[in-house]
Amino acid sequence: MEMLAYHCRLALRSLRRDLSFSLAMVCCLALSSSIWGGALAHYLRLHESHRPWSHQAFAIDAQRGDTQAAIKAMLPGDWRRQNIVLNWSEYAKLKHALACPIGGNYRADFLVQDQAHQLVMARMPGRFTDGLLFSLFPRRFAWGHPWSAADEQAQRPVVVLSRVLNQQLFGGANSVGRSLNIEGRAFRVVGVLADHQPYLPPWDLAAGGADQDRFMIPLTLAPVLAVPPEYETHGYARTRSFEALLASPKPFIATWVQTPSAQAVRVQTQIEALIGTHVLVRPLAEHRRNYPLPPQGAEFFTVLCALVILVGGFSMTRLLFAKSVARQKEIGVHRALGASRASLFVRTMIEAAMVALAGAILTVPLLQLLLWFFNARHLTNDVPLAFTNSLLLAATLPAFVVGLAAGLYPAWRVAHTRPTLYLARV
Amino acid sequence: MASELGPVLRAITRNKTAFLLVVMEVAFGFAVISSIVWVGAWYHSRGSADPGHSTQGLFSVQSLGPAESLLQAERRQQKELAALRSHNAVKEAAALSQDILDPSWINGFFVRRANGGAPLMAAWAIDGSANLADTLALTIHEGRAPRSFGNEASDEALISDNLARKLFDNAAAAVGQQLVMSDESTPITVMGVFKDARLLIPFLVNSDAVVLRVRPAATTRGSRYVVRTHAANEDEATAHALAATLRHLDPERVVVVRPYRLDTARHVNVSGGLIATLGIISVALAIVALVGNLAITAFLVQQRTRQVGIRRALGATPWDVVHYFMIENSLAVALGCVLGLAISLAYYFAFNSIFPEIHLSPWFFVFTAILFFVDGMLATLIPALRAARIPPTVASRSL
Repeated sequence: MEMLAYHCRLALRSLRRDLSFSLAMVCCLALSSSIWGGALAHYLRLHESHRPWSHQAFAIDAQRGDTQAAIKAMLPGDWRRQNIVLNWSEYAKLKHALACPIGGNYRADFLVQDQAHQLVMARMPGRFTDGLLFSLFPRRFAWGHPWSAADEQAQRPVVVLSRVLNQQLFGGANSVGRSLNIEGRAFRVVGVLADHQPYLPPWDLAAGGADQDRFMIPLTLAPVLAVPPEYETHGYARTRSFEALLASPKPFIATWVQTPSAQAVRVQTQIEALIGTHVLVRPLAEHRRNYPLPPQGAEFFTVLCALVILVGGFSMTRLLFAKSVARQKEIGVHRALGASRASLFVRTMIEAAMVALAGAILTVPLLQLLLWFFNARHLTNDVPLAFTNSLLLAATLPAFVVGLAAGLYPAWRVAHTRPTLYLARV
Repeated sequence: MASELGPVLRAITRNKTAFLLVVMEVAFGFAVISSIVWVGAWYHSRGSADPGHSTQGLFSVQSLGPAESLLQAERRQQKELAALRSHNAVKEAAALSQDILDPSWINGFFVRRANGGAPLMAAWAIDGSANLADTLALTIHEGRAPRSFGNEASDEALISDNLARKLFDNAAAAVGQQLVMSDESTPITVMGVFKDARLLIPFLVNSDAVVLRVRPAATTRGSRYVVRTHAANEDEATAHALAATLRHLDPERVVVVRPYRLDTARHVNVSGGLIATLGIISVALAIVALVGNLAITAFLVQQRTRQVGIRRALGATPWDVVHYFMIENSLAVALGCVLGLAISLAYYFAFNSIFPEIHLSPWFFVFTAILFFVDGMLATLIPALRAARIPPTVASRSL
């Protein structure tokens, strides 16, 4: 322990002596690892929705034979959003006759006004959903709670606000009990969500990284408000009225059942008998495996920025190497006075570790600055990049590891300095 | 130059590790920067492309309200169009289903030739009034615009040059041909081909493959119009007047009027944000590379003080010394660039499905190489100039 403290003191002295070199190393490492962290934040945002939700959540995946195969052939990267969901009559049959709880949802653009009709938001994304969604995919409420089954059955105009809309309309205050106007009707706020929506909300089988849903309202209100889904479905005739959509075979409702795993096959058979279409009833993880995400920009940038952190590592190696070679004479004297190779190696590695630690610490404010910039520039959608614990670890740990690895070669060089070379010149 | 190479190569052999570190750093740096350049160029091309049609005096108008029956919606659209067209400031007004200012990322359709023989293609349909092409000032260079008018659907359509080339090889051959779109069972007839224009969000695949169909564009919840006026784009009075015209018909209606400014469109913000992000990565990387380069060159110069002194004593001028270090650095940068080019190309082929229709230009790589040469030169110049000032007497000190 004493030896370690001694080496630490020497390493610190060495870092102080070449202060500009030391600062350059810390900055190189921190800059490159904060860039890496920024890319990682995008990647983590994309994959955050993969966290485990309810084990009883099973997606109904309609297999539409020829139509589905044709769509897959046409749009290999994008077909997951299409066709696997249910049409209105299929959903209605299941809702009415299936023994286990069933929940559907779809996203639409709404016309929204605040109570005073001062603030008008045309085409605001919101979601019709059954209340079951809140138990299958539990989300934290800042205030209030989901609507009740009675609200749903009675088609009461109730709404759960997203954090974003609550901030926009009510300044982030408790808005439970207040009203807002959706499609010309007054809706009472029953709950406000505490967190932002995942980038790819798992409950939307057709999601593709669009802006967050600003609110959720009961699916039973869909025929009353007559708001069609946001997207047209490939391979089906365009329907221009909501009545025509409900009567058409065009699928648009992502549907989930709540069932224990052991019952899933039985539920699948029941669903097939009821709607006459071959379906697969499977948990979210399996569903995601079957419909992998198409390549995303976030993955491109993550790999690219992994190269940036490598460049930072090379830069630090060069600086440490230059420093060690510049001090070869002094190290030679040390060796001649009895310093072992191991002690010189450890001392240089401690120096590298100190630089790596400082680099990792400096990464944190730089990364926060970068995330602030990314969020302010409003990238592809409005789900903000979050500075989470996993991001903190994933950004700073590689900085530390790369810093340590960068010290290996210079430390080895220092340890193998020949004392005789310098003694000869004395 | 050739006479300099021998000593430089011998020096490199003596300092292999330092040289290799430079090469590796340049290689990875080159791969990152060149990838950023081609991705940045792609985003820039998507975000700032010429719209291909005049936006002077063009306004986007939306009229929205609670859902009503389709019949009511179509009647309302006819009234609103008539009201807009009768306004003094308006030259042309047309209804349309979607355009580049639409914030939703909507789906496209598939299209094929009615008589077969060509592959099914992803394309985008914009439904609207027959005068839509005139209102947008599209250039029809083959055939003519559809003649139908009013709110009735017609089987006549215009297609973009890009789509015509993909389906029929050339624009002239497309006129008079029939197409089948995946959302309709009856074919439509191509009456004309218009010069490619930015009508839809350019990040979409085949965003230039557009079919303009004559269809009632009203939905049960509202209508969207494009209005060509005599005014300048920024004319707020005209925008207010257009909104007032529609509100006069129904005061309860929500009317949104925006000048047709592409610089405020969402795709421009997205591409601007991404280019800024790429710029930050590039600057950070350049700083890291420059610092590393400065350090290593300073070290090499310091290592060779005596050697430089001997060269100076043997008659080398200060310029010869600078030249010597420049050549050494250039060799490392050149080797790093070659290695980096290979990494960048591998990266391009691994990820190009994310960036459709990207055109890889050799100039992207030339630009990156120049950047690294300049970076290397800058980093070498200061220590090399210091070395050039070493007096020849240094060589005799240890004799």
